[in-house]
Amino acid sequence: MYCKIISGAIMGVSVYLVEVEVSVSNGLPCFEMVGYLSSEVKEARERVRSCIANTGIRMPAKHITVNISPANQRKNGTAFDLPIAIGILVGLEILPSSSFEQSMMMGELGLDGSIKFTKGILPAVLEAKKKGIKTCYVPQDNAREGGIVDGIEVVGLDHLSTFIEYLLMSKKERNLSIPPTKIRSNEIFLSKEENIPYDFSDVNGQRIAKRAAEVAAAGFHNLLLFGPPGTGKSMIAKRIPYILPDLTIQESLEVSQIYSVTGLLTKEQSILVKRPYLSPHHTISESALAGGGRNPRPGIISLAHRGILFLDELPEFKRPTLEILRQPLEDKEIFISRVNDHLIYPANFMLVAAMNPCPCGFYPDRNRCHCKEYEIMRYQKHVSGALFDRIDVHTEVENISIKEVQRKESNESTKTIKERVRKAHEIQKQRYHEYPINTNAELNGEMIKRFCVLGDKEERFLEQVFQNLNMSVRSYHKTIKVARTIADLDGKEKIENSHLAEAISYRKIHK
Amino acid sequence: MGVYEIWFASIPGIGNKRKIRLIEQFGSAEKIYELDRLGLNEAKNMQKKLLTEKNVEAILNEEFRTNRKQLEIYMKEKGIKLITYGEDNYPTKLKNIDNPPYQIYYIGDLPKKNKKAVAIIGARECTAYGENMARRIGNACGRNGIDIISGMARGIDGIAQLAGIQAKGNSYGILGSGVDICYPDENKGLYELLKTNGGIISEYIPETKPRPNLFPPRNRIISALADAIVVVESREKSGTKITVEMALEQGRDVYVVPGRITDGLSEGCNQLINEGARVITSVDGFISDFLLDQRYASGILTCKEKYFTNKTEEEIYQLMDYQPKNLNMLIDELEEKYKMIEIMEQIISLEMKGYIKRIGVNSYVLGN
Repeated sequence: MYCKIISGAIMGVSVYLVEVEVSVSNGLPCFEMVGYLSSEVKEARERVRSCIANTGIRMPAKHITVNISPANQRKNGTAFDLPIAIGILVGLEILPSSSFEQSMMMGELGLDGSIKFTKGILPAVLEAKKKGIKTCYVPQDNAREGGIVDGIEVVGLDHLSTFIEYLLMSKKERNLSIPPTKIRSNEIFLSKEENIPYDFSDVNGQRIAKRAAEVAAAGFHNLLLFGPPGTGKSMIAKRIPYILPDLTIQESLEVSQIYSVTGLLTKEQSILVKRPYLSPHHTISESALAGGGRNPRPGIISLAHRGILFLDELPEFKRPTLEILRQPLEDKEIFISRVNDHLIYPANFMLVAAMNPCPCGFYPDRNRCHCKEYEIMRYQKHVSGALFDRIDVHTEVENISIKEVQRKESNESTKTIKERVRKAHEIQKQRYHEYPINTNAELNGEMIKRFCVLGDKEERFLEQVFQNLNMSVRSYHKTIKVARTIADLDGKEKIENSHLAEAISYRKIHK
Repeated sequence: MGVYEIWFASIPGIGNKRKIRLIEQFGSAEKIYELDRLGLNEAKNMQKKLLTEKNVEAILNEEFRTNRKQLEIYMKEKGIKLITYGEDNYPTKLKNIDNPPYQIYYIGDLPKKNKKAVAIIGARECTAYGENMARRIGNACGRNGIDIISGMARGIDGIAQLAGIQAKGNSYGILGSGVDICYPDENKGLYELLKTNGGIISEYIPETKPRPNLFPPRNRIISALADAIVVVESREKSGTKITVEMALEQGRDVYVVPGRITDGLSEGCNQLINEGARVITSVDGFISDFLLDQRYASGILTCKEKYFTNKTEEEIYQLMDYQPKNLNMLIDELEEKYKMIEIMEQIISLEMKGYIKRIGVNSYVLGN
C-alpha cells in the first residue's frame, strides 16, 4: 500500500513543502528511509517504530520504504516523524488515506507517542497557505504560532493516539473534539500591555546622547555611543527598542519566521510583538554573529532583524567578526554559502554600538587620561573606518555631575519620545510608499537627490562646512540623510540649516 | 667630512671627552688611523691614560675599518653630514657645555651662529591648552625669526616645531636615535619638513635605533643649542624636567607657561615657577622679553578680533575653555535661554570660523 503526505522542510528562514512517501509491501521485513536525509531525519525510524508500538499498534513484519521528495535536496530536522508515522498507519490500512486530504503535517514524536515542539511551523503554515493547502496538523505547542496565519486551518495535537482517533472521526466531530486554533493578530497587538521595563525617564542628564538616540531611532540610523566607563552607554542602548514604533503585523511575521526556524518562539508567544534587542558578548564567534554552520542557521544579526543589535565595548570584538557586519549593514541581508546550502537571511537591524574613546576611557579629559596618543589611535583603529562609515549617528556620553544624578524632576518619558519617533516614521513611510524602503537610513545616492532637496542657502551652508571642517565626500550623504530625519522629527518638509547643523554634530570622531 | 672622520667618530667604546683629547694629542683622525700598535701603546702608557687596552683593539680592528667605507656611502646617499668638535662650523653654543658631543650627524643645516634660538619642550600627552600654547609660541618664534630647537617628540615638541615652520621659521630636531630614523613614526611629515626648513641633528651613528637611555643625553644638546627654553606643559616627574636641569647647568634662561593648579599637566610648570623660573604671561611679552627689543612688543599675535554673527554665538564662545567642554554642559548652562538645536547650530558656526575646535565627538575647546 502506498501513501503520500505533505510536510515541510526548513531552508534558510523559509520552508518548502516536501512529499513524504511511504510504501508498505510484503517482503523481507525492513524499514528503509531514503531521500538525501541528515542523521536526525534518519533517526526518525527508531522514534516512529517505538512510538507506534507504544500507542498500542503492532507493527507487522512488512517491507517499509520511506522516501522524502524532492530527493535531491538535503533535509534536516525532526518534523517528518509525524507524517512518517501516519504514512505507515495508512500503509498498514489502519487509517484511510482520505482522512487528511489537502493537508500538511509536521511534528517530532516522542517514544511514548507524544507530539513535541518543532521548529519552523510558522513559515511552513505560510508556505502551505500559498500552495493552497486547507489544513495543517502541527504540535500542540506550536498551535498558537501557526494559528496566526489567516485563511488556513491549523490544528494542534499533543499525542499520536489522539491524532489517530481524530482522523477516524467525521468532519463535524473533528471540529468539536479539537477545534482549529485561531489567533487574531490584531488582538495580540492590542492586548499587549504597555510594559516598558526600561524608561528614558530614568536617564538623568545626557541630553545629547538621548537626542541622538531619538534621531537614530526616528530614521533607523545606526548609532555609536562614545564615552567613559560607567556613564550610561548601555543604559541608553537598552531603552532604544522601546522608542521605536511597534512592529507592524507584516514585520512581526518576518521576524517571527526567523525565530520559528531557530526554535526560539515559546508556546505562549505565537508571534513576536516586541522589537528584538540582542546584545551579544564580545567573545562571540563569526558564525554565531553572521549565521552559518555546516547546516546553516540564522545568526545574531538575523535574530536582530527589525530590531536592535547592541555591541557593547566595540573594539573588544575580534576584528574579523566586526568586518562581517559590513555587507549586511549595506544590503540589509546576509548571504551565506556552505557545502550544502546557499542561503539568504534577512538582517535589517539597527546597530547600536558603544565604546570607550581610549583604553582607560577618559579621553579627552587629560587630567584623568594618561593614554598615549598612539594608544588612543590604536584603540580606535580596532574598528575599521569602513564600519565607522556605516554608522550615521555618532555621539558622546559624558560623565554627569552628582547634581544631575540626584535631580528629582522627572525626565522626558519613553512614551513621549516614542510618539515623536512614530510620527517621523509615519512621514517616512508615506514619502517612500512607492519605493522598496521604509526609512531614511536606507536612502541611496539616487534617492537622496530626489527626497532630500536642499535650498540654495542650505547648500551653501553645507558647502562651507565641508570646506572648513575637512569632511569627506562620504560623510556628505550621511549628513543629509540624518538631517532629513531631523527635519522629519521637526515635522518640516524642507531641510533647514539648523537640521544640517545638528546632523553635522553627530559626525564621526576625527582620528 | 672624510672617511677617517667617519671612522673615528663611530669607534665604539671611546667617549666624547677621550675623542677630543685624542684629536688634541695627534692632530687629526687620519693620523690616528695611520698609527700602528706601537704608537697606540705609547698613547696608552702616557700619564693621562689616553687609551685603554680595549680602545686600542677597537682602533686597530680591520673589519670595522673596511665597514666604515660602506657607512660613508650610506651617509652620502641619505644626505647625512658629519661635523666634529674641532671644526670651524661646530656650533659654539655646544662647545661651551660640560660634556660636548665630539661628533654631530645632521641632515639639512646646523643652527646659524647669529640667530637666536629657543627650545620649546613639554609633555608628549598634552592637553588642548598645551597644544594651543605650543602652537602660539611656535608660531610667534617662526614669525620673528627665532629658531626652534626641540626633540621632535609627539605632543608639545612636534606641535611647536611644526607651527614654527608653518610661520616660515626654521626649526631643528634633536633626535635620540640616528638622524636617518624618524621617531615617532607619526611625525614623519614634520621630519621631512625639518630637512628643508632647518635640520635634524643627532650625536648617534646613523641607523641607531631609539632607546630610552639615549634620550636624556640628547636633552643636553637641546638645551645647549638654545638661548632659552620654554616649558609648555609638564607633569611633576618627566623628561622635560631633565632638560630644564641641564639648561640651568648650562646657564640658559627657563621660561614657563603657567597652568591651573588642578591640572596634572601643569604641575611641573607651576613647580618650576615656584622655584624661580620666568613666567610667560603673554606670547608677545615673551617674545619681546626674549629679544629685548620693543619693536616686537605688540601687534603680532594679539588675539584676533572676533566677529560673532549673533548673541548666542558670542555667549557660547564665552563659555568655552581650553579644558574640553561637552555639548551637554553647554546645553545645561544655556537651556533657559536657547533651544538645544539653536546651540548646536551656533557651535558648528563657531567651529567653522575656527574659534573653537572639536575633540572627541561632542566635546569642544577654544581654538586658536
